[in-house]
Amino acid sequence: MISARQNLGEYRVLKIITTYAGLGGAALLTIGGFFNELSITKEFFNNEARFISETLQHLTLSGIAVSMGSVIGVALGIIAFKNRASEKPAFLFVNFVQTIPSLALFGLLIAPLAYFSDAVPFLRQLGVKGIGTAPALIALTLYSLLPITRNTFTSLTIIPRGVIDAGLGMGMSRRQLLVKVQIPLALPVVLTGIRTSAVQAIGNTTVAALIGAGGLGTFVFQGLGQAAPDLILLGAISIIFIALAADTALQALISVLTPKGISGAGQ
Amino acid sequence: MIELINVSKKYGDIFAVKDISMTIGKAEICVLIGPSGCGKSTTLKMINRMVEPSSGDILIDNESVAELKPELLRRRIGYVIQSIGLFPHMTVGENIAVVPRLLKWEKSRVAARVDELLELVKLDALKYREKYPSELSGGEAQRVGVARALAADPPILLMDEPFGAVDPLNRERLQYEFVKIQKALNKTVVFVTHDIDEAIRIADKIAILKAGELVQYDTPENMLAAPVNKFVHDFVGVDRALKRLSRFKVGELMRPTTSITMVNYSTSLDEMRKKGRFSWVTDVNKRLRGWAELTKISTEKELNEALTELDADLISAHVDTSLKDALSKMLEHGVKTLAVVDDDTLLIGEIRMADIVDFTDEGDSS
Repeated sequence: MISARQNLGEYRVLKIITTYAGLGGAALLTIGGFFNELSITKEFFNNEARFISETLQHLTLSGIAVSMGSVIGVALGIIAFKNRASEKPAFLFVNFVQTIPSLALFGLLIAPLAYFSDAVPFLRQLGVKGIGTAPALIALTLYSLLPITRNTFTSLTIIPRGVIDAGLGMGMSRRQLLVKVQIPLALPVVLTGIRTSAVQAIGNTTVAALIGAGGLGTFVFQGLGQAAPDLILLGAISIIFIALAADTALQALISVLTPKGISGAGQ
Repeated sequence: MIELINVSKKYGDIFAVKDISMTIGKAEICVLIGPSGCGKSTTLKMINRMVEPSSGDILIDNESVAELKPELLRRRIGYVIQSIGLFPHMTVGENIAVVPRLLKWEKSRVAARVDELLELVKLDALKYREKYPSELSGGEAQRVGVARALAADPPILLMDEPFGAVDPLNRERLQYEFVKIQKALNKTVVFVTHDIDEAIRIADKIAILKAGELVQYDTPENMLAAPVNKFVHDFVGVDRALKRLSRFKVGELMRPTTSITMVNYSTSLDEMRKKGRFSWVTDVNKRLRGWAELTKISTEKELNEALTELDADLISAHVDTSLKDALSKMLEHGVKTLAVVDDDTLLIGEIRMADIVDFTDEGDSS
């Protein structure tokens, strides 16, 4: 048991090293000015200010989408667990959303949002339009629902009935049971769903550039339009790097929040 | 004291429990038993309001449980279930401390109580306190479950097939230790099982249920001797005479006996010979050494030849041994009489097979 856990730990360290060795090396070489003459580096310096603002936009879009997805997804998961009648429709919905190609979903949102923006002045004041940030956030949020809803639902179903009965039988209130037992046991699994969603959202945000929401996808599509592979690489490599960083950070968070007695459950 | 007064539980049109009235005395172990679906677990769960009765009332020390807030009621009642339900993210120590913490005990008091309870259930506090449930064997987990239920020293324990998932050998040991703990702590225990042997081993009173109704509520001795109907008769089993013997101790049928002391045997050799063919032989401290065939002894010198020196364990039974165990020892060693010894293995009497057989007949006819 203990040796297995140590092995797992060593394996994890090894995985991180292999994942980041190349990137780390590249970063060192970059700082050292080794790539200064490469065209991709030149593209970066040409677009430096825009690169920073698009990166922030990319982070903001995916960050807000995953946050909203977490709130809605966790709620949906809990509702599906508490009320078995709602389980099927809830999963039908999130699964259905997942099957729509991202480009199509972005496109499909343009018409209804444009309509609402026209019909409701308040929304227009908020900046809701058929293109831009609003449809991007809605689409990205919808995409992030499936992993979070599914993991929330699963995390609640895998808590043994006996554990709940024992808690109630010893005189815990529903609230105490939730705080002391259900949340600590469910959290690692829920966070694993959020981690999956986050990595996915960072990738999907690329497409949001097509409907005018900005983000690092701007460089990718600009590069595609101008047949400039360096520009595409600048966007793509940055997106990969952000995705890996988010993945690692969330994995670290999960490790910290996984109670000792159930180590491994969140993997 | 727990009183059930005309308690019923209906699910739809079906009675899970139908009009049960019974009184469970203080410091007694009451075992609820019956086939699956007889309502024994439901009855248990109504006591701590995990299930709410459809009608009737349950009183604990003359106070209706319906008037108490369920959480507060449950903190005063220990609860052990078959799946144990240890919290996997808490250490053994934290698991045991759950109710004391709910009751807002001081930290030092909780820590001392945890150690005390681990020792009580025969687990080394230093070694087990920091372990997680996933590192425990089934038997160890069950001990922790019992310790956790006892944590806040509740006067009542509810146990729902607590030893059901433990292997038979460990189960018997846990039952034995549990009865010892219960007698020492004077807890009132309601215990659900489907295992009649377990019930007979631990119960002060047994309640047999069938289809939600209480069929017979009696001491194990009376139930085995006089089942009220065929259902109870069949449920307690064809070997009920033997099972009943397990409820009585050797001391209850013990006869006084005579013995020869190895150093000082000469005084009454003639007298003894008149009493029978055999005599127990002890040393000067009255410690059993063997037995002698008296008819073979004509002179004092011959005692050594007539003496069969044997391990005292083989030819004796402790005064607290059950009649069933004593009988099987007789059959195993082919003897009709066993010496009876006390805690210090000193001879205090003897027990005869004929007396045990007569005793079972008595039980059958009553």
